[in-house]
Amino acid sequence: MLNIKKLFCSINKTLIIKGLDLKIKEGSIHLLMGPNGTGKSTLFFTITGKPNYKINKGNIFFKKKKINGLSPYEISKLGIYLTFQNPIEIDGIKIIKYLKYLRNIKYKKIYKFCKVLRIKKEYLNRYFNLGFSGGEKKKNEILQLLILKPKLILLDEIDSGLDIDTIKIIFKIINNYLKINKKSSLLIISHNTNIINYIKPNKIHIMHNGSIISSNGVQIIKKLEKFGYNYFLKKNN
Amino acid sequence: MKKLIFYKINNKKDINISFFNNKYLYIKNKIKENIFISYKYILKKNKYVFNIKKKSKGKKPIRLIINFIYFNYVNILINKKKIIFIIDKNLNITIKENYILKDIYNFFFNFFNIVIIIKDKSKVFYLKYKNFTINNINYYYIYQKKNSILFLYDVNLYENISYNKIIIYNIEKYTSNYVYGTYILNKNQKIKNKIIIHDYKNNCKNIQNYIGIYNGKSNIYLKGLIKLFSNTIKNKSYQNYKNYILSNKVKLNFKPYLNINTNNVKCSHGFNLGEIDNNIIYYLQTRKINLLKAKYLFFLSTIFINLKIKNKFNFIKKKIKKKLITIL
Repeated sequence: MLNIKKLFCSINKTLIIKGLDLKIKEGSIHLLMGPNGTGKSTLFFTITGKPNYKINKGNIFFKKKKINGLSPYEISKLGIYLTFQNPIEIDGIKIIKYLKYLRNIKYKKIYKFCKVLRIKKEYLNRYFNLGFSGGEKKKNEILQLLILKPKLILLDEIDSGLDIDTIKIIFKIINNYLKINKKSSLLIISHNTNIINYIKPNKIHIMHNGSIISSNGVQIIKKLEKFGYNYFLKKNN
Repeated sequence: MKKLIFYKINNKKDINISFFNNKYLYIKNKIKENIFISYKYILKKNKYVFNIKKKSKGKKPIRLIINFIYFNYVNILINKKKIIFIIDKNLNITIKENYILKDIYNFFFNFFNIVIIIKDKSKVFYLKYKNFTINNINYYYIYQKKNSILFLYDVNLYENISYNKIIIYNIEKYTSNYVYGTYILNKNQKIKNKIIIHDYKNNCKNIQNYIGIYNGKSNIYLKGLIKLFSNTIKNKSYQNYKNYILSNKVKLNFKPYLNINTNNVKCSHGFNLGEIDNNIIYYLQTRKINLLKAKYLFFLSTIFINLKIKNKFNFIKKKIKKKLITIL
């Protein structure tokens, strides 16, 4: 589904991603981990075509179609959805109107999604993310995901700053979504090793200094908990 | 045609004051539950004086619509008149301008003076909005008495050539006025506006919030002056102008002024030339919203934050949305 080949990417002439390779098959779940500032979020922004994120070398293919150079709108239309670590606030626009703007979906369905996410109806009449708690903002991201029905989901630290109950709800919904849409894939960034209790990744990647230094199954987590990232760095050297 | 026009203005809920071709005056619902209107016409000066008085107790809000109806205008190109509203104490009134034009030449010029005297503890919402592409020279003189509140919505969307002067006199203590302006202009629209506020007494509050989005060859001159006279204490005055320019040919001339002749007051003024927030645009684009629609949503949100329009003027939101689509 997603195929990244020797990607080099820079922001304002600073090289951040250095020769990254990644392959995600249809219906698979991948977990991306790594120390802060290694370029995980940058990778997500590059995939979704954020302006100022320049691809110096390499290619990104989505369903065998080259997507570097496409606008964020064109990429999202292909079926790639990114949840933001810090979702933006838009004053003056109510959530319910915004959701109707995304897709011509019936109110009944929106209310149904709200029920699943344990969101009150009044929440929909508030301005977009304005004055929301961290959990509410993340729930809003998942609500949009359910409405847009993407093929590739990129979750950027969806579990950061959330209480256990909210994490459980969110991952339950994501698991259900992947069960129903069997061809959809998932790529998550997380710093939390406990994440494997909520979701079962097929592959876990360790990223450092702009490239993936190790990829393996769930056993990586145990080593990570025991020795930290230094173990992988030494091994790589 | 007359039937059609009457049908348009025949709203049972509202008080309608209609001027037909500068000659005839028609008032619908002159007497309401708790209000009545008396009027005088001074022929020589082409001056109308409306006295809005309270009939019984209670603070029920009243909506008043001034209809300017013109049709088959051939001879007179300039229409000139003076309208005076004297609003009694303890009233809550919404005044809305409404233009109904039929077969009017492009050269038609609408010139009138509107004077509003707001007495003690009254609240007035005034919507200054022209729903047609007509040319205007309008003067507004507003006198505020003790504890009165004015909300003035200055919406410019379709005016071709327009010169407006809004002068607010805070002649007594504890008055407050809020001027919310929205300018969305394109093509060759030319607007010259002056908003002048005089504070003569203590504890007055003046707030001016303007937002503008300009495209094409539009030309705007805006002067906002707040004048605080000597011996005024604890007055608050704020001016804020926020603008977005979408074309190189736009001409802007903004002059925010504060004339302070006293101490112990809070005042500030600012003029911003804003850029589109690229993070918002990017966020929206990642949600299958194309660039044009993302820009539209961005501007819509910035306008609605600024405008703070009440439910009674909800129709203006639709007009703004319509105009915004054409400008982007």
